[in-house]
Amino acid sequence: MWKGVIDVALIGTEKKKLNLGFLPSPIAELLYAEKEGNAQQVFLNALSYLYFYNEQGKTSIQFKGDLNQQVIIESQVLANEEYLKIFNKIKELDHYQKEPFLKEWMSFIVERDKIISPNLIIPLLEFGANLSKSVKKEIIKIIGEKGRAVIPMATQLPYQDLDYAGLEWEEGSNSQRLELFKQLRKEDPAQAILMLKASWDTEGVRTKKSLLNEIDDHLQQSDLAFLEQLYQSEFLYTLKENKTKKECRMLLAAMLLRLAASNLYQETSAELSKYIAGAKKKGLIGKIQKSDDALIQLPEKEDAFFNDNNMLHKFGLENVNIDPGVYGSKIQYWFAFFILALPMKFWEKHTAKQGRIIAKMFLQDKAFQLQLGKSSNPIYKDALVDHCKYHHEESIIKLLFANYPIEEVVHLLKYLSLDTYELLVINRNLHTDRNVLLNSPSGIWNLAFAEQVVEKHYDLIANQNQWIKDKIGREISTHMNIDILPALLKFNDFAKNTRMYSNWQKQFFEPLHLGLEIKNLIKNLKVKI
Amino acid sequence: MKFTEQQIANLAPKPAAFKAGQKLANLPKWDSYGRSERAMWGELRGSGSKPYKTQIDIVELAYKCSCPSRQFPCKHSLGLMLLNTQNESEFKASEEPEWVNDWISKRQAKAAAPPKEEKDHTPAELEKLEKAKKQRADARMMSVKAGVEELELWLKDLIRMGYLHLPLKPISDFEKVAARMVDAKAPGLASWVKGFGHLNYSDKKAWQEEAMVLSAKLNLLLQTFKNYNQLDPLWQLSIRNLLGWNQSTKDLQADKSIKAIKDEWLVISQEREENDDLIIERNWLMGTSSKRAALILNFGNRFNPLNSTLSAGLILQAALKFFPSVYEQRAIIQNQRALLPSLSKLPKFEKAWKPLRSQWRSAMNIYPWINNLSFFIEKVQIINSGNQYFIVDQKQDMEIVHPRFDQRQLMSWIVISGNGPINLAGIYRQGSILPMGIFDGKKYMILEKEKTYVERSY
Repeated sequence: MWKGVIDVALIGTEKKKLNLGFLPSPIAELLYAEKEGNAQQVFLNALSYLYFYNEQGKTSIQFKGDLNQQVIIESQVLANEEYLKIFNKIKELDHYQKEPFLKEWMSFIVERDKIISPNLIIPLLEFGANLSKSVKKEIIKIIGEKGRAVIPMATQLPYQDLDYAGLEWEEGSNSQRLELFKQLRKEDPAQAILMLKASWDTEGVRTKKSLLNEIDDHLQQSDLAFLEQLYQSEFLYTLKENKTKKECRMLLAAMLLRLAASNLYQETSAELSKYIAGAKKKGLIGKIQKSDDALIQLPEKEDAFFNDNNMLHKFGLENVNIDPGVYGSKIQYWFAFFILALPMKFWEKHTAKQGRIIAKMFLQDKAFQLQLGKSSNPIYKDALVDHCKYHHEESIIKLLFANYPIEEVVHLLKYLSLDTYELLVINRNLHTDRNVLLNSPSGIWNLAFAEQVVEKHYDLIANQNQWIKDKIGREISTHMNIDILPALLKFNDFAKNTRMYSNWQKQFFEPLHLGLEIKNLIKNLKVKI
Repeated sequence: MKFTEQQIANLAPKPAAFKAGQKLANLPKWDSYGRSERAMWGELRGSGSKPYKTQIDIVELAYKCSCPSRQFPCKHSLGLMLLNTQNESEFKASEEPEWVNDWISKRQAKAAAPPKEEKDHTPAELEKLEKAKKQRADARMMSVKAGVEELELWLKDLIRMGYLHLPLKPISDFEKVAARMVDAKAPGLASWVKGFGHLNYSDKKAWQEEAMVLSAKLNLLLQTFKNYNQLDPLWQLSIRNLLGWNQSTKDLQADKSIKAIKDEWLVISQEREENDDLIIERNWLMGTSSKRAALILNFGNRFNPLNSTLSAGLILQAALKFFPSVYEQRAIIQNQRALLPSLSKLPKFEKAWKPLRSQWRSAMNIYPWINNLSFFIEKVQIINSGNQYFIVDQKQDMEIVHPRFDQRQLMSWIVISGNGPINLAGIYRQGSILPMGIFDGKKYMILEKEKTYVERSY
């Protein structure tokens, strides 16, 4: 009946007339009684009557089933209301700070086997939507059965299939897959290699290179078998091989040289030891650059080890595009690769000298300097810097800091111990250097050091009339000692009387204070519980 | 009265204002802050030479700030409320500073003052004024009559040609007709016409159904207007309101013959809608004892920003006055005594859908153009059946959920109720249920929608 009316309305009364006989009799009678108006008016009146007639007759539908089956029951206990306060504070943080603070907050709840209150579940799911998978997995742990029940409904929030990386690995874009691999390498390196093995044969060589780079960044002893297999089969030298394949071999060789159990390490160490003075080995061809006390004597000409074919076939090293401003010969260029890759223990073992002395030799020995006009440059400085990146040897990093400008080696600071780092910053008065602070080793700064950082920043705006930039307060909040709070507030009071107070507030005080406030809330909660 | 963060967010004129307010909710930023029984205040150093003085009347929600912002509440007021919510223990009751005391006292004096008496007129002047008023009313009625006739013709043309053409018509076609209705001094009719331009054309079936309902109601209105002179005065007033005559808040306040209804009023929901340059805020209230449903409207435009003093979830101890109508729904706050932190007792809930259905039928019998009916119902559960959600009552009767109930609201319902039976507040709208909030004992929790601020509809 209603459908028939809609049909007439859609086609139009000009083409189709309404059959009053199909209408309920009270309505039809009314319309017959009106007996006036054209077809349009009759239709509109019929429509009005019928609509209200239908509305008056509508009833509810009956549900058939068991409603009890729908109820969700929690087995874990709710965390108390104070958690909510902390989450609200975390929400105010800048993106850079969110993840570490949220992780700390959640780990506290997970450790106590609690769950968050229901009214917090949706805001937390929304908040974590743009954060990493590891954070999302933690979120799933603290939202209880009720929260987990809504995950399938939350189609706009990326919480589905968090444990199943397969689909993203199989169908994701290159950047998504790389990101996934990177994440998995951090969380479960062996699992990442297993996943990689399964699809390795179908990858393009460029993707393979990117993936090897990721392995290189977080190299593990457990990677050895996979890397050796690749090195000995797929990336063996072949005629007319492409450039990327060669680069992959170089990457593999560099990684295998870092792993003392690898065949390549054993073979290479045997070969290289021949060039170390004092070693009772044959085949010394000559001292480099006529240095009398050089421990390491490289050949002046190609030999059985240092030659184009061997370097290319075994290590993927070519002799093209060698920077003449850095290296005096291709042998020096090849040798730099071994300084970069081999652990300092190798050199210590064969020279019977300490790593620091060996590094000093690489940097300062006349034999390892390249004379360019009047200036002499250390040939192996860059190789040594890269060596530190892989091997994190503190004594060598300190040596580099003592001898070179800070900006050239600042990225190595994060490999130092916290105490060494603080001492270095204090001695060189680098408290307000943003790059230095950003490269702090992980962990919480000592209170005395933290106070100095705050004071020096205050000094910048109060006495030196210099702007604080780039929200440094936000960047350092993760390292800042919580006990600094009273001192921070004290300096904030002082800063109120300065001309650059708003700069201090915006760039330093506010973001730092917010971070400390959250840390404080979590600390207080720990004390209470 | 302690506001929840959600309530404060709802009071914000824009999401950006709330975000800015959040950044100010930090104790060290405020030079001073405090609260009394009737106000909350704070001084905050901004970019100006003097700190901004922010004050909030917490009995009859109102804001004042010395900042130059034209938004109400400004970010400082929002920041102060958030500061109070997050640091309740720091806000100990204290004596109001002079500047706060002055403002609050002035507000109270103004509220208590009797309405200004109109200037005394001589009988001759009165007669002249009445005559002029009648002339204006007659002229408007003539104009509206012409508008109604034109619209009737337009509607008939539409049905003659068939509604299949509707989705193909440009919106400007409807806007032109709507503009003519505004010229005819019947802006209410303009909204009905615009409604045809904004049907849910993306859904093949939905728009057809919506077009039928719209036509049925509009036709009834046009036909009723033809009998205007035969209607009793209350009906005439109701029809005039539907056609777009303004209802005067001042007159209602001054009218002593209309009694205000005292109750504990819960704001069950707040909806904002943008219509051309006009922002309309609809606040749906329910009296917890009287079970009366009330609609409080608030308007804003680009020159007069929305000054929001109500927020979903607020509980007002107040007396509400309803505009006269055959079906009273729109109201104003005549006298507000307090904002309550929680309900003093549980509201009266319906037990099942059946009585609600019969309420709807009765309401339709009285006033066929009714669109919304607010309600409280107890112990209901939400279920999914065939890709459609239903709400089931204790007697296993179920009602369909309104399409505007979104994914986020559904998730909120599930996580709060665990999908067990729960007490619900909602609106019966166009034959389906729009859930608005659920009760956990005396605590009322809003089912927040996805992050959309203002909806555009007619």
